[in-house]
Amino acid sequence: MKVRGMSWIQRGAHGTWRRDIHGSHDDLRHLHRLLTERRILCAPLEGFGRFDYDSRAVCLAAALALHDAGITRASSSYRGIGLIMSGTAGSRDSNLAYFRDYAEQGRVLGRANLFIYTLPTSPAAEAAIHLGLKGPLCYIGPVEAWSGEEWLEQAEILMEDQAEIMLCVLMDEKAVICVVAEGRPSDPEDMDMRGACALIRKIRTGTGNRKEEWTS
Amino acid sequence: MKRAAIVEMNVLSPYGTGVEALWNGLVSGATAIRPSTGRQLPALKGIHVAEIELAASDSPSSRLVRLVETLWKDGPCSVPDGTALILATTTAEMDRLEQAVFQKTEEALPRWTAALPSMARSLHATGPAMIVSSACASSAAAMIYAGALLSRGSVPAVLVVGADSLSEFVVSGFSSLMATDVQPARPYDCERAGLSAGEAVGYMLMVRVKDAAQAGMTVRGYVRGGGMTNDANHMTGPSRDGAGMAEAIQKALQNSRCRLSEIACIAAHGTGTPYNDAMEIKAFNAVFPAPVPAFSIKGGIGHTMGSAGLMQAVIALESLRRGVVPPTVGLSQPYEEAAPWVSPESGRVRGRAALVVNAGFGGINTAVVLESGADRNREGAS
Repeated sequence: MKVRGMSWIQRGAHGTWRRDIHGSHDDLRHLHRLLTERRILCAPLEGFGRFDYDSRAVCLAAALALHDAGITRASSSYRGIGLIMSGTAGSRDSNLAYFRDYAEQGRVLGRANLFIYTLPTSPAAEAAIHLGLKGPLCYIGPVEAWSGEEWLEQAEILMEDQAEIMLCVLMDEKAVICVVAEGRPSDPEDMDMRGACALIRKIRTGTGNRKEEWTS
Repeated sequence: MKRAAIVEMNVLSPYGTGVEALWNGLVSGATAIRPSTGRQLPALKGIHVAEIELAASDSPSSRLVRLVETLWKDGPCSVPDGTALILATTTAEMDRLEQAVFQKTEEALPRWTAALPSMARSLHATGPAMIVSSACASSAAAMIYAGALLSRGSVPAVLVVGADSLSEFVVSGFSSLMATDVQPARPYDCERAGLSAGEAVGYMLMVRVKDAAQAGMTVRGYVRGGGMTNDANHMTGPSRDGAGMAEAIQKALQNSRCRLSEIACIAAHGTGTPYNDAMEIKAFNAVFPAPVPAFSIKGGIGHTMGSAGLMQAVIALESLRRGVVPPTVGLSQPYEEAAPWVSPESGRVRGRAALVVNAGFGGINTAVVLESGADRNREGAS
């Protein structure tokens, strides 16, 4: 397995590996506007304001990563691209948001637009819908117990028989990282696992909580 | 992946402990879905759910952990050294989160994977431990993943545990989506109106086929292969045309090198929601040239979420072994398109392979091809 593209979003900053994009943004709404203006997103994501924070971040990171890998909707393998999510918190924040709201409203009515984000796979599902990715979709953990190599190895195992290309999304307090992994690499300039892991380590040591812009 | 052998399996369902209890409950035609007494979960009192009666306990453990511990105490199995644990669940210990909200101790809420290390110790799984979550297709995804893991040769065995427990969180959430029936679920019925929430835990111990043979293990069945796709269509509803599910089935058949004619029965997802059931039958019609006996177990034990696929797989293997498919409990009058596939009565089947299909929020589709073990049709042949 090799890495064809990679993107990351940190607090106030975003970047990619192959195309060497490095930019800053005020918040994810701003990044959404930037990616639309730069045609990295072919149109604004419908309902973006309704998404939970993690779904916003994953959708934008996935769009950036596909762009970095040079994969467009016209690519022959596009439809079959899968998404594998990993994170340190699952869907904890959105679960709390749903249940806190339900409890505060008297435990009678739940709010469906909050409930739909209460699965660890919800952000990946939102990305799959908006980017048209029809491969396997799965969450694996606990990522905090794995090295970068071990995490990518889990993705490689899941790819077997299931997808030629997989977007591997890793979320922690500091960053959302999206790796475009390819089972049968075609480009000699694709990054090997060791290079990808070194880059992931570097990104994860960045400073600042990526959600501070949201919670402040 | 290479074909993997299932050498042990057991379940704790609302019908009781054991595969036999689940099978007998379904074949009896009586549902385990009933208005909750509120003894187990006070907030659900009066709501139609399929719950498991746990013994009173002062244990601080979550309901999910207590369900797994109860199953293991009543029906453990021998686990080889170095066995990997895969916990297949939607959201794991949701009652912990509920308590944290009510007691305003959210900051102290443990990670959602917190139960994993102690669960691995309790189940004697000394290899790597992980969670696989693919919404209500989690167990099926875990079986596919386990098969691939075994093919790599890095672990000697994989213990797949499918587990989800009832909670106020889940029941209120399904209600908010208007996805629940006021009656017990009626999968594929012309008057079906939604799902019933349920809970269950189960396990499967999977090993490489050659290792099972060398160790002289009794093989209960095989996971031949699987397929996973996504509809990329809607956060909670399936695609209306069933194309994503049809593709998952085709992929599973291809990966299993299984001919359509080999499939003797289908353990369908069959939640009882109008859209899910219609989508599945469309997918079956798109793939199979003629109807194959299919059934849903969710009219009996409710929708057990992350454990649903494992429950279906266990019953699919029982069906192959006995040469009988169970009735779809709760079904009275199938809607027109479903009528050739499902039945309110048990039926005979002949063959070695079964298909297990699941769908989950976010458009997830899975299909797994199972094959009967050595003792197939033992009862059916007698």
